[in-house]
Amino acid sequence: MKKRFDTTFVVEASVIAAVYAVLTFVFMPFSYGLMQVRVSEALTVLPAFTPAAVPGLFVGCLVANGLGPNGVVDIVVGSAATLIAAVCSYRLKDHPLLVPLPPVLANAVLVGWELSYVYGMGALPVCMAWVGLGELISCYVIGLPLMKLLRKYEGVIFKHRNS
Amino acid sequence: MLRDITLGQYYPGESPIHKLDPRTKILGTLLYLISLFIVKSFAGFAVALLLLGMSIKISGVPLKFMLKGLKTIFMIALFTFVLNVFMTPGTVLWRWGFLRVTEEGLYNAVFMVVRLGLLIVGSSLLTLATKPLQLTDGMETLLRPLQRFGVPAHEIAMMMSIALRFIPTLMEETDKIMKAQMARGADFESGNLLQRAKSLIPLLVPLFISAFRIAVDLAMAMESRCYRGGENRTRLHPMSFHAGDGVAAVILGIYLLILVGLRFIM
Amino acid sequence: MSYTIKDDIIQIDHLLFQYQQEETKETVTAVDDVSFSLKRGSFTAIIGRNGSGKSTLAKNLNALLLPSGGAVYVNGYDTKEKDHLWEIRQSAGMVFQNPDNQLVSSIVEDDVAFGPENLGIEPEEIRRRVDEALHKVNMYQHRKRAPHHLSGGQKQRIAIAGVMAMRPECIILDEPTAMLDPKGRAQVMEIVRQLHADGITVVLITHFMDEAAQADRIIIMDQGKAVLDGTPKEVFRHGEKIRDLYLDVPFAVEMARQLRKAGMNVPDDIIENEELTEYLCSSEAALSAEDDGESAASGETSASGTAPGADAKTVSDATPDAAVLAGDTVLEVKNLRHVFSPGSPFESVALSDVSFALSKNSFTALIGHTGSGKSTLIQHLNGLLKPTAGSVWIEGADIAGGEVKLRDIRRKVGLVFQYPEYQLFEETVLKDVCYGPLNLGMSQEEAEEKARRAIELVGLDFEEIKDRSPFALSGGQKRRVAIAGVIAMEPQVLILDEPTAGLDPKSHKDILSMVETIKNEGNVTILLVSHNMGDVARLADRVLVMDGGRLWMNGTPRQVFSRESELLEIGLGLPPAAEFLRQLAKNGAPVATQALTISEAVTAITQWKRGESQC
Ligand SMILES: Nc1ncnc2c1ncn2[C@@H]1O[C@H](COP(=O)(O)OP(=O)(O)OP(=O)(O)O)[C@@H](O)[C@H]1O
Ligand SMILES: Nc1ncnc2c1ncn2[C@@H]1O[C@H](COP(=O)(O)OP(=O)(O)OP(=O)(O)O)[C@@H](O)[C@H]1O
Ligand SMILES: [Mg+2]
Ligand SMILES: [Mg+2]
Repeated sequence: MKKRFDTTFVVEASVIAAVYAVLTFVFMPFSYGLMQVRVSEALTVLPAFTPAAVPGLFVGCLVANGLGPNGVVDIVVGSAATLIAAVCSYRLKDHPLLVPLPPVLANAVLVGWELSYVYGMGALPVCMAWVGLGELISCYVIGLPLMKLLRKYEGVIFKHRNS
Repeated sequence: MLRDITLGQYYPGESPIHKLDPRTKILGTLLYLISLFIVKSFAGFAVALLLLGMSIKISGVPLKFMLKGLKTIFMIALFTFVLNVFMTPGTVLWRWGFLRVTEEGLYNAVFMVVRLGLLIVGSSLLTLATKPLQLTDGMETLLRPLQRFGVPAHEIAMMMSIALRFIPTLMEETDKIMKAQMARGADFESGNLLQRAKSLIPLLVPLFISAFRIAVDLAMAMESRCYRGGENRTRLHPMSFHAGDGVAAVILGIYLLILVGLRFIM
Repeated sequence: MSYTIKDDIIQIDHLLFQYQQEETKETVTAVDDVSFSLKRGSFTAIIGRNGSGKSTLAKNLNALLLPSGGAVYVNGYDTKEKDHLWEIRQSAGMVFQNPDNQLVSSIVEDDVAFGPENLGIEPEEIRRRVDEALHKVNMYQHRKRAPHHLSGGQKQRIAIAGVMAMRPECIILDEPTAMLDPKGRAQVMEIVRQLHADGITVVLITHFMDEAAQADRIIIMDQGKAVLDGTPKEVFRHGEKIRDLYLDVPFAVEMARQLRKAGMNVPDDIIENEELTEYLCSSEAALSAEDDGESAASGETSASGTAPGADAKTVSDATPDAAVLAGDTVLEVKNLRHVFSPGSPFESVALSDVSFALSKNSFTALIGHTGSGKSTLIQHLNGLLKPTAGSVWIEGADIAGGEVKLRDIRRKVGLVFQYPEYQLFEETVLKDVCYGPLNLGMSQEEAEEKARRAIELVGLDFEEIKDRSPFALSGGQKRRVAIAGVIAMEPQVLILDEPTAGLDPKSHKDILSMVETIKNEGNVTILLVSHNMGDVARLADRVLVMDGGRLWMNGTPRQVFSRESELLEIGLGLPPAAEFLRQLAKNGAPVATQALTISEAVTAITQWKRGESQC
């Protein structure tokens, strides 16, 4: 178990984090703001391919929020949601249809709570539904097809995973 | 392209706040944020505002620069305000059609917006006056005691710093791939949601391949430079506390005492 | 362990290395029974074409890969012994090809400190080593900057500093200059020579023969085997054999060979320009007695191994502007200006007041040092970037004018980016090449028909390759497929941004002759961005020179390259043949210096020598 974090694992996680952040910035228009359809959230399907995506997405979210203008609250809550979701997605990796579900739920609950309690943006269920909907679009409409596609390229992209 | 995105909100400077140890700043900010949630009165907020105002003044970050980054937050705050003003039941002050403004609503709205403002501005001061890389180092050191419980502090910090290193590279790569596919007639901007999602594929696949090529190369380069995890690793810039950090701790302590005191008095 | 010989830092003993392919379970033998040892303080160059096993060999030298058979000893330690792993890696440092993918930190000095930090060295000592290493590579003043603000050559020097800070005894550089422009390349080679002079053992893998010629030993790899090994003089004497291995020889060796063909008595151990100059200026050099003008001329045409079609072009040079004016203009740029991030603190003027026209079926080269605005300029030509001021006209229509659709412009002007193979994404070659035509709204059959023509035009076998995954192809093939993806849209103007970057000498030549084929068979107007002045002189009938965002000159190759000193000032050089003749002239040889290609240079030299023998 000592070798859980070998160099390749650390570096893979890092580039996944970087890609997450890049997609967040490049597609800024639909990512910050009231309704968040983050293209980058489609990457939440990656744990199905490599365990390095679990810390990768967490760090990506941390970095993207940290560099964005929204401050520390978002960093803490958003990243926590991402981490929990990524762990669950990784566990569900053998059930493709369920892989994008954890991020939808985790974000709906945690970020929904944040919007309602910290930002005072209305009743809890409304906030949760609101966040959940945006997340549903990113994860299922973009994420699921992405996952199907990545399956085809698994050998090309993730080939060095075990070597 | 946003070439300097990885500096985030950082405003270069040499102020006492800039010079504080990142650990002090991280812990201080966290305490400050928590403190805002124990406040139940405007008097408390006044104290909090005083501390924040003082810190901003000392940091030398121009207010204009600060507020520039907060445009979206302003929208959210406005939304919060309107929502609270109109939606809170209580003593009606004013009514127009189905809209009514209550006393409690007005109070709530102001309370929420003030707190939100302090939260956001307070936490953005941290990223304004600290370089992302210093934050990473600070976090690593703060989390190190948790390594015993399986928290991979060093690895997380390493990932953050490598991610920061490669964001500009991948940003440029993204730009190049998008342009190359546009030169082949791709269209990333129009169409409905599904079409747009589909149009992203010719971008995402090459981007992933590039990213993982970087991973393979970089892992190789790091190992050839004797990287073997965080154990026994030294640093070029070891972190150290200075007199300024002591002063900051004392000020923060006094501030917290006042807030707790206020909470019991009022 | 007992294998130690004091003088040798690295010993390779019947090294065999095989990659295990995961999906197919096949094994690929990348290094096949190689044995040699490296003396302390020596400078060895390893050359060989793509896939010959150079990188694999290099990675075996510092235990990044472990032998499948045989053994490698570094400083007497067997690389298979885990106990000495860190000593081995510390004493044999490695620099890789891609300048971007080996820097770890977003601050230069932190990156240089990475190695020493891993070795657990005290902070003060790290500081000392970092400063020393940065001074050595001449980057100290940049120590606080971020790598993404540096040029490729600067990044590569940082990578070298990062290795130097570990105080290695040996440094292995795997194609460190492959992705650099000529200036960056020269800077890196300067550092490499410096390291060697300081007593460090250097192993340099390269595709550039002029770099290899600077070593004191050359090893040529082919299909995993070391096929030639010796001093540069010994190795390059085997000119034919080297050509059989699809490699190049240094310029002086090729020049000497052509001169011999033209009947001159040039010895076959000359490998550097200086030697050749000296020799030619001495009285020994002469045309053989029985030789006359005729055979010199025939030597010239048969000498065109590197210069097909060079001579046909020189004829039209006489009336350059008439030729351009006569043709119809396909594309015209008027007073183009481009400013990045206007109004922000990062505002930068990338182009200002650029005007030129491309005439139909011409072959124009675009040159300029790094950052001079070449890429920015070409992105305007198909509407990827919008001019800040000025306009671009295609077939008489302003592309920003609104009456032309962007899609039509993209169809008319094809743009092949640098390293285009990085944009491949489809499952099969055919699908990938069809992507462009389908985007233009063509039917599936039509698109496939265009794809077939394009794939054949780039010199690939359509039936053989159409269903293969583009990712399973070799580097040169991938690049052809990527270029086919643009050609399938049947553009009238084809713009290529350094299409040969990073390829071995053989693929380099193949791609360029492919470009010529496309021009001739497809009736396409070509605009080629290149850093290789030899290629420019050989291929282009028009040259655009950029400097600091301005169009510094627009003329025939002969006009452009006649302004040597000004070109040097803006960071450019001359074609090797022209440079060589100037060197000769400087040494007092009464030789005509306007030649641009090797065959022209041969003519000039034989004329000079003939004149000499007559008086
Ligand atoms: N990770 C890998 N898995 C399988 N085969 C590989 C791998 N890396 C290299 N090879 C194969 O090993 C052989 C030698 O490759 P190597 O990279 O050492 O060549 P090279 O001489 O460095 O080429 P280049 O000039 O392109 O850098 C090639 O046939 C290549 O396809
Ligand atoms: N997206 C951008 N934002 C800001 N500045 C840019 C951008 N792209 C290029 N530049 C700047 O514009 C100038 C011209 O760059 P360009 O890439 O066109 O040069 P180039 O001649 O193609 O160089 P190279 O030979 O390295 O490819 C440079 O100073 C560069 O820093
Ligand atoms: Mg190689
Ligand atoms: Mg360029």
